[in-house]
Amino acid sequence: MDESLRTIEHINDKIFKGDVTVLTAEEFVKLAESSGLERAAREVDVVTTGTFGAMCSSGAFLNFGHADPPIKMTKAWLNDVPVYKGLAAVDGYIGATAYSETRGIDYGGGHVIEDLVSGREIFLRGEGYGTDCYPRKHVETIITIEDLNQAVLVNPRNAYQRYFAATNSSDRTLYTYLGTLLPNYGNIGFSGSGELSPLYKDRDLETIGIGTRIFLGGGVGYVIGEGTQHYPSKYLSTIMVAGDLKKMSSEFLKGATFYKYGATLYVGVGIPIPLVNMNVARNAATPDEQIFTEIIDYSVPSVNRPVLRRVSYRELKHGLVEVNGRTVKAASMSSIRKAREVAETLKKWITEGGFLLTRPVAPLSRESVQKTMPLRKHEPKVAELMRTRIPTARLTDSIREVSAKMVRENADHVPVVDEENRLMGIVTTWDIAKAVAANVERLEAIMTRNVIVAKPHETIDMVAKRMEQYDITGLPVVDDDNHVLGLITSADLSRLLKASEGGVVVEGQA
Amino acid sequence: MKVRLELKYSPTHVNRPILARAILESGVPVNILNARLTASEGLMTIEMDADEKAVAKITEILRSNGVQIKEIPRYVEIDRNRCIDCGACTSVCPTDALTLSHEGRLTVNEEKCVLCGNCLKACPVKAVTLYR
Repeated sequence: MDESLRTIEHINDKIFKGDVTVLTAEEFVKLAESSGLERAAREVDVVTTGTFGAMCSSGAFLNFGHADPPIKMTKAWLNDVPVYKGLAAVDGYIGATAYSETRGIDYGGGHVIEDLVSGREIFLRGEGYGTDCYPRKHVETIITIEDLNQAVLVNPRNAYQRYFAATNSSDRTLYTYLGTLLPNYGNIGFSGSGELSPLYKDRDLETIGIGTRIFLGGGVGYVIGEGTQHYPSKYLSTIMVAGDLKKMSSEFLKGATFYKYGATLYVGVGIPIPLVNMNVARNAATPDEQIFTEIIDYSVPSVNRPVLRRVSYRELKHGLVEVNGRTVKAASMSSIRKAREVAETLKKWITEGGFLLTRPVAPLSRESVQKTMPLRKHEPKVAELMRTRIPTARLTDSIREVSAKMVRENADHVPVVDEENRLMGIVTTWDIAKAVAANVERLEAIMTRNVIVAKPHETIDMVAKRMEQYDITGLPVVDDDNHVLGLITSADLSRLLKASEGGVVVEGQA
Repeated sequence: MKVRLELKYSPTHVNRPILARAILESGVPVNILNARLTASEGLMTIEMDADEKAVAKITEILRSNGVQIKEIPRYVEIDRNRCIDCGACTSVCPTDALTLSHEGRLTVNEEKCVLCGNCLKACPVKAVTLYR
C-alpha cells in the first residue's frame, strides 16, 4: 500500500473552504519536475485532466413527449438522420455515427447532437404502425432541445487511456478514423492527449470508478461503468459515461466527419484526480515522454496489424516522427488545445467551489480483455474458388506463343513466372491486343510487373473489393514466397454469387 | 510582389496556347497552381512573383486574348469558431502552409498555400475555405 496523502472528504472540505489546491495535469507534470514528486504531491490536492477527441461510441437518449393523438414511433429521424427506435413510444437514441439519408456522412448523429446542444431547430419525422392506444401513424414537426423531456448523453466508450498511431505502407492514400494517411509511410495520424489523458493519469484506476463525477461535454457527467473494449492490462482502459445533454455546450460537443470514413462526435471529457496516495500522484505526474503507444500499419486489412515501432506522446505532439527510416509529419485527430481547455475549466469549477469530488461506488474492472469476433459461419476463401490448372508463361515466350495458349486454354489472364514458378508479371488479352496494335514482339515489353495478387486464405469479399479498387478482373493467387498457386477472376466470383442466389450456398470442406 | 490570379477561359478558347504565349511574350515565369475544364469554361489559378509592370503586361496579353482575370487576395481561410486546432490538416499540407504552433494553435501561412485542397478533405469539422 502506497503512502496515503489525503482523503476525498478532506479535499471536499478544502473545496468548501475555498483553499483547495488544483493543478492541471500539464502544470502538475512541470511542478513535479521542478520541485520533485514528493513536494508536489504534498502541495497539490487535485489534478485535472482533459481530452477532446472523436468518440464514435457516443449518443443521446431523447424523450420527445407525446403528440396528440399519440404515436408509438417505430422509426424516427432527426434532420433525416435515423434514430434508434427499439424503445418505448417516444424514447429514442441518436448515435453519433448514424448518418443522414439525404446528405450522407457529411451530416450525422454527431451533428444532430451539436445542433441540439446549440439550441437549433431540428426536423423530427416519425412513423408507427398505429395501435389502439397509439392511433397516429405519422408525425412531422420541428423541435429544439427545450421541447424534449429528457436529453441524456450516454456514451458507451469514451476517453481511451491512449490510442494507437497510424501510418500507411501501401501505395495509395487511406482515409481512416485516424485521418488521411498518405502513401509510403507519408504521415502519421494519432489521437489522445498524452499527459493530459484522464484515464492515463490514473492509470491503475485507483480513483476513477463507477459514480465518479466528471466534466462531460461542457457539463457535468458521471462514469457509469467500464467502457466497451475496456482493456486495462494493455493500458487501453475506457469508460462509459452519462450526463445531462441540456446542460452541455457545443464548445465541447462537435459533430464531425472523417472523409470517406463517416460521421462522429468530438467529446470533451475531463476527470479530476484526487491525489489520495503517492502512487496516484506518481501516475498523475507521468510526462508525455513516458507515455508510449505503437505506430501501426493501417494498410494491412486485419485486426492484427503489424506494429512498426513504439513512440512517445512527446514525439507525436512534436509533430515529426521517424518511421521506416524517414522523418514524417504526425498529426493529431484530437485537439490538445481543447483538451487543455477541458482541464482548465474543470480546475476553475473545483477551485471556485462548484464541483465536488466523489468516491467511486464501485471500482472499474482490472481484468477485462478485448476479444475479437468469432467467425463461426463458413466464409468462402480464395483457395476454395481459385482455379489451379491455369496456363502460365515464361519471359522468353513470344507474344504469338502466349496468345495461342490463351486461345487454347480459354484464358484472359496469364501469369508470367520464373523457373521456380514465382510470379514475375501478368499479361491479359488486352495486353496482347495492344502488342499487336503497337507491333511489339517481346512479352517483357507488355506485361504488367506490379501485379495485384490474392492469397489463398483471404476471403472472397476482400478479393472482390480489391478487383473493384484497382479496376481489374483477375488476380493470380500466390503463397508467401510468391509462388503462383492459381488464379481467381471476376467470372469465378459471379459463379459463386449465382450459386448462392439459387439457394446453393457454397459450403467449404474445411 | 507575389500575385495570384484566377483565369477564366471561354470554351472556344481552351485549345489555344494563350498562357504559354503570354509567358513567352512577357518573360514572366508563371506557376500554374490549379487548372480545371468544365463544359462551360476553363478555370486556371496561376501565381507569379514579379513587379507591377510585368504583371500588368501579362494581364494585358491575357485580356486581349479573351481571358477574364480576377485577382485572388486570399487563398485559405479558417473558421475559428469551428476549428478545434486538432492538426489533422497539417500532416497532409505539402507546403507547410498549415502548421500547429508550439501552443497547439493552427497557424496559416497563405503565401505558402498552393490550393491543393488536401486540407478540405482532412478537416473533420469543415473549418477550411479555399479561394480557388
